[in-house]
Amino acid sequence: MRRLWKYQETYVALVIVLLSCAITLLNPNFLTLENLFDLLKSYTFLGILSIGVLFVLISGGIDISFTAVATVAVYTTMYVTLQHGGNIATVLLMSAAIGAGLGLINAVIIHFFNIPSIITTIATLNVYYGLLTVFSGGTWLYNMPEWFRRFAETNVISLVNPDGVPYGLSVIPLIWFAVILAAWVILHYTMLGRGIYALGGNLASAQRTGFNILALHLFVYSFMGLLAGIAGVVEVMLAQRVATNSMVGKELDVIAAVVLGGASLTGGVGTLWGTLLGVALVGIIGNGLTLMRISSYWYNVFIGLVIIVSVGVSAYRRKLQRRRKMSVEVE
Amino acid sequence: MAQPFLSMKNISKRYAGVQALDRVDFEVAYGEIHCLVGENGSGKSTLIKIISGAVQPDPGGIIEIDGERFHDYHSIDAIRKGIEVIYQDLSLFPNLSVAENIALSEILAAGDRFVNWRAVHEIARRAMARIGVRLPLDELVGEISIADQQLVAICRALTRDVRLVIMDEPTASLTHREVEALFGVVRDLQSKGIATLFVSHKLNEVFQIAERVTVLRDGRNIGCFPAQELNDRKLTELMTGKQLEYSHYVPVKLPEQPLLEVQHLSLRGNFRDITFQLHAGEILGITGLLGSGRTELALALFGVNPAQSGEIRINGRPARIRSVQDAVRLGIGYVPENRLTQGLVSQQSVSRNIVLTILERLINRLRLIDHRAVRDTVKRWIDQLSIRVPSPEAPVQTLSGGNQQRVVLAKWIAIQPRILILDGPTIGIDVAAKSAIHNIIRDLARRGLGIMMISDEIPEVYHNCNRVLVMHKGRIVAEFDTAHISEEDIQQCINQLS
Amino acid sequence: MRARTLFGLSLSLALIFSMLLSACATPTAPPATEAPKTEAPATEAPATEPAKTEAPATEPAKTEAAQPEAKKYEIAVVVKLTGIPWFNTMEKGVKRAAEELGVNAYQTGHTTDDPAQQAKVIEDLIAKGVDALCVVPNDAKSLEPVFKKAKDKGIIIITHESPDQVGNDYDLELIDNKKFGEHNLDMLVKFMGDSGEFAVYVGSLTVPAHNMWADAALAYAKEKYPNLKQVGDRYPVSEKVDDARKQTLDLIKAYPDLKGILAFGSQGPIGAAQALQEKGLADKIAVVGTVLPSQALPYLKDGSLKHGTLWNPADAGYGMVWLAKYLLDGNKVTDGMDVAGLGKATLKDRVLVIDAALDITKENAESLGF
Repeated sequence: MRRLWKYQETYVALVIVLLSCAITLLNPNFLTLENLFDLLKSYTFLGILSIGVLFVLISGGIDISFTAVATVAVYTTMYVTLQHGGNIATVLLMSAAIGAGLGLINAVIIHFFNIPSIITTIATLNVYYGLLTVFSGGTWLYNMPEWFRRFAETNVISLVNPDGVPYGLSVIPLIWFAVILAAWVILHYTMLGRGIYALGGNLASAQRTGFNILALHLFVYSFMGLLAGIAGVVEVMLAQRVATNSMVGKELDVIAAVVLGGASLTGGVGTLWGTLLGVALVGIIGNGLTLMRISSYWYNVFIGLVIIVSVGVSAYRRKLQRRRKMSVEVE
Repeated sequence: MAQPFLSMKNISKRYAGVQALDRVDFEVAYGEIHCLVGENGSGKSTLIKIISGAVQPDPGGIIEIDGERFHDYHSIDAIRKGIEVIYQDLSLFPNLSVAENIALSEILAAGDRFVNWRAVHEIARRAMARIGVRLPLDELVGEISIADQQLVAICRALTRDVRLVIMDEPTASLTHREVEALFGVVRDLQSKGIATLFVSHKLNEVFQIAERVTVLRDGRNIGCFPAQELNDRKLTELMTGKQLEYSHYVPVKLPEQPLLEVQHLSLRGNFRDITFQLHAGEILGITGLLGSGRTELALALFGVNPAQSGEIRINGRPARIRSVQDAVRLGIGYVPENRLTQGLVSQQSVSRNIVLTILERLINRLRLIDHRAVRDTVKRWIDQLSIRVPSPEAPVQTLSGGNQQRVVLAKWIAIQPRILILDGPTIGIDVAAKSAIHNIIRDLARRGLGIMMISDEIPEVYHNCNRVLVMHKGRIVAEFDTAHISEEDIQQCINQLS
Repeated sequence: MRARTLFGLSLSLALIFSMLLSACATPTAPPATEAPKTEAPATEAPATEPAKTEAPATEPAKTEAAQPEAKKYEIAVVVKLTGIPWFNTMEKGVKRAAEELGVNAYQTGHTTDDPAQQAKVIEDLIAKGVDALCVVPNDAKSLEPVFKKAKDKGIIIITHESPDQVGNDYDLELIDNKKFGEHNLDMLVKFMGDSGEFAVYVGSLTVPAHNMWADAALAYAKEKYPNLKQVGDRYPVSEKVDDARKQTLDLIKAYPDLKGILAFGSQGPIGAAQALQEKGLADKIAVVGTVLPSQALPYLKDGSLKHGTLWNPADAGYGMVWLAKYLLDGNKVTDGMDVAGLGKATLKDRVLVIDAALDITKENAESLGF
């Protein structure tokens, strides 16, 4: 029990519980299945990307380029699909494959040229996004195919709220759930996952222990790309258009959610559980502020305060702990 | 002796023009505790790399392990023969649990793709049982003590059928008591027929346990000696090839007025009722076990964690030290124990590091940095402390340990302090560099500085200090005048404490 | 110690970088008038080269009559940033003007909406020796020095969406900001009735145009429809479909009696309509706002978006080039003159306003062609 207080995840969970109580008191609509379902659908995009970022952060790297990867992947996919047709499976597969490919390029540059991942991905972000701008000329794609639209509107559970309005659990969060499950198995039950932790914990030791560092790099960054490709499709499902500039710029939101969930920017530390909590907190703040009818002018202030509280408390505890360790037994 | 477990003959290794090893013969018997010593650059690490199979010797060498002769010897052979190396940095994963750290390489070697957590715990438990230690298996390695981390590294080595454990500088960051515990484990390994090879340049501890000592110098094997036949002095001579003159530091006539007077100084949880005097020209040694409060006392005098009660006088005048700025203004300099994390900005140049503390004296009338003054100052200190650098603009991290320590010294001497506190001034540097640093310190004292030297190496304080204080549990428990006692007296006093 | 420094370092790097990015991720919304830019300079990217045409003007062709074939006026249109649908459409108008009016007119700009980059593009054009510059400024103030330089060389300067511009010849506006805001509110009332709760979206709280329209609409509502009640403050979500969609879902729960959404910024109405469509609430809540017709079409068709408003950026492109040629030909601008067949213009302090606001409905959205 006492060990729990060492983890940032615990504090984020606590903030979520307190915030949820406060919001529910002010507006009971918060704690409804309908709101939960809506939130799940809205945050699938952020949720999927955050898992990719978690993998990269654990491995000791960082990826900035994933929004550009997502945009390029989904733009190319939908462009081809609008011309040649397809179905939901081909769209997801193609976008994921393009994303993974672009991620692979990141990995190769990072590994073989030994350029810090932040520099590499800043550069590739510009290259990927720039090429897209050149080739698309900034044209947006509208008029998504009918089957695509229908899929995005599918509910797997359909219910009716007290006002008689139907609602349901969309099929979109199921994609997220599948990604969570896959990520959980990889991180906890495969040597690949443990290798990613080992790599982020101590690169030299990971090498000596016999992990294949190249394989780990290739996996981590292409997995990030693959998830970006899928997240790109999710974004288009929600907005029903492909925009060239709607995703680039959201990098920090995603990275912030993951770091909020306890992942370390120095690598080796981070849990799936924490990342989900981080995304949940970000989602609940946005949703809750409107539900509590707080003025939109205050949003940023509030978000900043919540981050400071959730991260600050655990950081402060660690500091106290270190100081206690230093003291001397005096007679 | 019968046939040895490991036998190496005529081993040479040449790297791009440097003869790292020159026709070295080396052997370790079954279940033996052997020690390999030598200064930096003597070829120790090259020899270890060859034993572990990471590096191949030049043609002509013969390696024989457990009766099997190898022509082409690689890591896989070393592992198969049960040779495990525990590197100085331990190669652990601070972010993973104890159990996982112990079991990971075993699972990886087995080629498994999936992790069975029950098997992980089983492997870890079995390894711990072999040396009879108990470690918290679910704790993160980064959160346990260095000593426990060392045990984790040993347990990891024991997951396989190990015959020879090689430990690179295992005692460097352990306290006295932890070293004892480690030696207990090593003896236990010995009773199970497992040999241990220590690689060290820290002298005194090794004798307690080693049976034989092999000395390397400049890539050659100087000889293999039974440990009883050696003492500190002889070993140093073997390692350096020089007759080191051990002289006592005897200060010239001390002034009446003490430079620093400390009375009843206390800081809760750190130290209590500390009273002593320091005169200009003195080198005052402070020793005691790790955790005795000596570093804490130094930090208090330097204003990092100011004392709560008591009195400090400098040149007879009461002094208030509430912050580092206060201490610096009063002419106190402090060279911390961990020079890399506390004393230097290691990516920056030697020049910048040296002038860091005195920048405000080096500005011109326009309040800009006077580059010529900086250049002159830096040159003066580099010359005076004979710091060997390719250029003053070279980053500090490219220098050897001894030269880095000199840069730290330069940085603090540059503020021209009256009192200089040195915490572990020669930790991690080899014998020759050590004595050079000692000479610098003595020279500074002769020029009228009052110096406090904190060290847990008894020979170091005995030879270089005119007085020695022993601290224990936050108090001063003994004071010695080194002119009238022997090294053993201090050692005995400390042994009684633990 | 070290870990913490590293953490800080990487976080600030990430922060700086995201700030850089936010610059290139900004609007597709109907561009603002004289947006004071606070973002850091955007990431560099090679400017897409304008289609370089020959015929460099060798002398200032101020009063010279157009001589077909021998000498065409060179008129450069510099937009806020290239490669977004809004300005792609504007370029169509510029090209049409080039053909119909017999001038060498083309559109150019930088790939980011950085005012400094825009100034640089203009400086290059001055050096190249164009006859007229038509500019949609990112920041009115920061262009004043280059405009002065252009003036000294006798270059005609027309701006668009910058009514307070200093240093230009004329500014051309295709809507009257006040009327536009009021018209939007009228349309909202038409579909939600003249009483009940409604919400207002803008691109961000610092986009001047959106907030000008919102000011006008809200003042008008207070005066004419006292039973309308605005909920919350302005929500800054209109630049991203995603944000507007989420905001709408949240608002439905926070204000169960919500009857209307007035959204300024081209993605706001789309996101709101998307949310209503998903929740099956298109009949209960009316969405009205500024949209691009081709993007809005499906939502107009299924009723989740009731009514769209905008002006045609192609008209703006055409109008600017027309006005430039009109001045190069030596004509005088007067109050009440007809501009480019777009309608009668009112002239006030060098600002020409034509009320060319478009109503976008399911009937005409497809035929508008942008």
